[in-house]
Amino acid sequence: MTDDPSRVAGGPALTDLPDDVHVATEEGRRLAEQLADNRRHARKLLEVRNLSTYFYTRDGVVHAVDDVSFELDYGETLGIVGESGCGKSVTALSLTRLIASPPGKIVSGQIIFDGIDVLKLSNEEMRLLRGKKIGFIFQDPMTSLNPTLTIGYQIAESAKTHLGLSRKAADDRAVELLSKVGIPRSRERMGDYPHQFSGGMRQRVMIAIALACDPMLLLADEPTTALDVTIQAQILELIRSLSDEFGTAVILITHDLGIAAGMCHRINVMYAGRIVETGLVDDIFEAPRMPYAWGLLDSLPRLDEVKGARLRTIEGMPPDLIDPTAECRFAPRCKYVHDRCRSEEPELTPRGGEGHTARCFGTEPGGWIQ
Amino acid sequence: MLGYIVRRVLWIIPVLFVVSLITFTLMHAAPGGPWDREKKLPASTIAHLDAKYGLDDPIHIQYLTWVGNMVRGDLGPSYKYIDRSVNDIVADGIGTTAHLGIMAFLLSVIIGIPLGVIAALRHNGIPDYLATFVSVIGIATPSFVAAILLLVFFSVTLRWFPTHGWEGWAEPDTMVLPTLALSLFPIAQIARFTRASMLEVTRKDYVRTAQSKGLRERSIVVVHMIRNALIPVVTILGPLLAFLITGSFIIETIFSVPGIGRYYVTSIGQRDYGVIMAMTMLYAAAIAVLNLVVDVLYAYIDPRIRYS
Amino acid sequence: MANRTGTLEQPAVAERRSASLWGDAWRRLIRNRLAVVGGVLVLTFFSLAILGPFIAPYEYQAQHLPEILANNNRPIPPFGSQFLLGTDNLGRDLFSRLLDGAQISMTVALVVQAVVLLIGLPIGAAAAWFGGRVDTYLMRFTDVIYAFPDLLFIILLSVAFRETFFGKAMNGLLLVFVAIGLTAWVGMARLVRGQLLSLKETEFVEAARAIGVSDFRIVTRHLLPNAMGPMIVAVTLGIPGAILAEATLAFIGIGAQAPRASWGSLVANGQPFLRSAPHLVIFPALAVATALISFTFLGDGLRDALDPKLKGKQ
Repeated sequence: MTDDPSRVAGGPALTDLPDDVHVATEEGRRLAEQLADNRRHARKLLEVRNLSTYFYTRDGVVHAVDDVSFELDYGETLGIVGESGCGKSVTALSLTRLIASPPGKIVSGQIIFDGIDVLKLSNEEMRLLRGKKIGFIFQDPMTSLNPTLTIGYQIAESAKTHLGLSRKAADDRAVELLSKVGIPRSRERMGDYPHQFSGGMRQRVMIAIALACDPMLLLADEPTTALDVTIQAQILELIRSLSDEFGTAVILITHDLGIAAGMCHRINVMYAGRIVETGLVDDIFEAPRMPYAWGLLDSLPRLDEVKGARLRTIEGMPPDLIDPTAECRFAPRCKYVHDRCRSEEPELTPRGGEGHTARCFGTEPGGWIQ
Repeated sequence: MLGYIVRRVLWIIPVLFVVSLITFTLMHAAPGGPWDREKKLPASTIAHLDAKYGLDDPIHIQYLTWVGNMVRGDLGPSYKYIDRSVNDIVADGIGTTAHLGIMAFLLSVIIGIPLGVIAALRHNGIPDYLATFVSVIGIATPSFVAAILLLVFFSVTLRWFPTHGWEGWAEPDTMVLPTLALSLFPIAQIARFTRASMLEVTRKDYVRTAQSKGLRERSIVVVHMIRNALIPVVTILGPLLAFLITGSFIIETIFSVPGIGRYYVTSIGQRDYGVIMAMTMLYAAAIAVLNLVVDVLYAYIDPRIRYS
Repeated sequence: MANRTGTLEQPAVAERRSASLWGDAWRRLIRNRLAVVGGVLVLTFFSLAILGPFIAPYEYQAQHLPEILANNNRPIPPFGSQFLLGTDNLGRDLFSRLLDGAQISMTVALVVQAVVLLIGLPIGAAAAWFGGRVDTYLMRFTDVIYAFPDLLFIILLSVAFRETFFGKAMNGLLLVFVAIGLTAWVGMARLVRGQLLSLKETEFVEAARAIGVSDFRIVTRHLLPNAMGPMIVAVTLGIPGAILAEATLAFIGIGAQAPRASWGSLVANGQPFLRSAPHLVIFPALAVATALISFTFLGDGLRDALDPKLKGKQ
């Protein structure tokens, strides 16, 4: 058994294209591009269907992620936006099966990554996928880096494990990555420890680690939340430029709509473990069709505000995710709530734009909200 | 770092002086003297002996004399063992005591740390309960109880090991029971602490990062987890070493190990001043030096700590 | 964007139980089974110690020689006779003697920790509060005490002074308490100092000072209560050490003098009979073991319950 999991699942590997096809002729190049294009449209990088991840606690079963479905194209950037506790991080962790297994469990659904059924892989096969094909950036760079190892070691580790590089080759690659993520004097800083870097620099190191093996997908879980606003922009720009350069798909998880607007092609809005609206970024921002999305957009302070006006919030608190009842989960906080919302939960139904769906009775055609 | 070490070493010297001063004062403040016997000696004999050994000099003269001799390496005569100097007594026993202490320390670390690590990795599994069980026994059993139980059970009844003596590697049998009795408590403490530390490390974010990188399980455990988990464990090594040093005398007494520890209680009772001073100084110096070693080790393994 | 007309719904506010520091800690403690077991045992020990003289079937020093003679001059084994746990070779009831030992051990535990607090707390607090030279000198002082090999120092004190008036007080117990306490306070002093140092820099202290609250009041009313948690844990976890020290001393004949029945001296007395009458060693050893375990588990539980950084245990 080889250790390339995509072969195990029977799909074609990315390395199937012969190298010389690229460089030989103009014709060859067009062929390669067409093959790549075919693949892209024949298959998505990521297909998530009816994913549910629950946590079994002493207080009950928490439906952290409930029947979530979405897709991601190769090279695309998807934003998952929502409040704390809405299930966005758990979704990302579920994709790489990093859910702590008691008390959490992926109870149902399918995750197809590059043609591979992730939930059916053995632990060892899953391990081979992580780091090599999927990179992860976590929220707090201060605690996410091992304080007793040099950053050079932590970057080179992935390369050594997955690419079989020698120590020297892995170190060279790490130096290269450090420069790429914008850390000056990268060779000298290889021997430094995390505590010798500032927050923004540490996050750059995390990015270098995540991209060390040139993964196909980058999961960025609130990568800038713990950083200063000025650094935030730099880090986001870095992620965007690197993903463009390497063709890496990105799932960007954030509670900040402004960030999502700047970076993403498409957005999933999540609430209480469910996707409540999804669509192209422009559609979501110009024509959102779900009261929660309105609330989120509304709560952003604007430059043309009347000075001294109060900040607008969404009243109330997110629901308890334990044993949810059959109603729209946003109903308790919704200004447009009707009886139907409290007795039945809406499905995701189309709203017009490409792939634009929303979960709201009120905004459906014929509904009471215009 | 070097500056720190030098400063610590220099600091030990005045500390030891103060220790010697306090010990000397207490010793002489206690009633009685080295010539007390069941049957009192004639006063003239006592006076004669006192004069011979300078015990009739004023206290501060005696102290200064002792200090003067000590820095030249002369620890004075023993009042109980008239034909031997304290230097002789110490030279005879210190090797054995040190040997026992080192063996017990090594055993504690070699058993304690893996026990704690495995218990944490198999949390709530069989190894965890086993390790916890051993730890509980270790902290609940005073070393003297362990010693006499081991002695009676394995030595007298089963005859697997000798009941007394210590011949080092020449007769390894003699080393087993004393080392075991002395290390029971440290094994328990190290295991408990390592386990708790590992359990905390398991929840740390950087472990999750390591998993997200798809590293092998063994890499994650050894390179990422154990390394960090051992840092707090080093902090308890200091007190444990002190325990091994001061607690060894009980083991030496019960197993008749020919170290210097067994002289301690008797020398106090007999007011054998030279031996008392020498032992206190030796033990205090050993503890101070070992604490320094532990502190340096701590800085060495945790890159965030840098003494100025 | 839709118009925002219509009244706001009353949001559903989640109910929360009272979240006081002590309330939370207590709840966490109760859920820790080992700690509860330890706590129950500790209470049992204290009760036995206090009630000892009243519930002991015999006087602990009373020798029942006729029964011994009737038993071939051997100690009476447990569970067979009027002596619940048997007797020693002088016919003294082991159960009653164990109760006396319990009293000794519990007294040691309390008195030693009282000494530790009495010396360690003011020194640590003063060092932290005044800082500078005071801190340096006090810490140097604690370094010296710390450098003493403690058991040896205790033995030195105990043996040296055992013939004095002080040494004979309470059958030699007072000397032991003080001696053990004198070497044990260093840890508490360092702990208090550390806690107060980190609290000293907080803003509410600055505010209190600005209002003109006296130093003493700040320390006693504001700083110390916040440091209480770790102090309680340290006191509880320090008790096994004190009990162990006293038992070890008693084993080598220092401390509580005969005929008082410290558990350590019971083990020493029973040692020659270990093969013929093992109950003489087993029961005192079990008593010591149980006492040590119970305080340790309770202390561990308190530490886990009071540690604010600890995530909730499932």
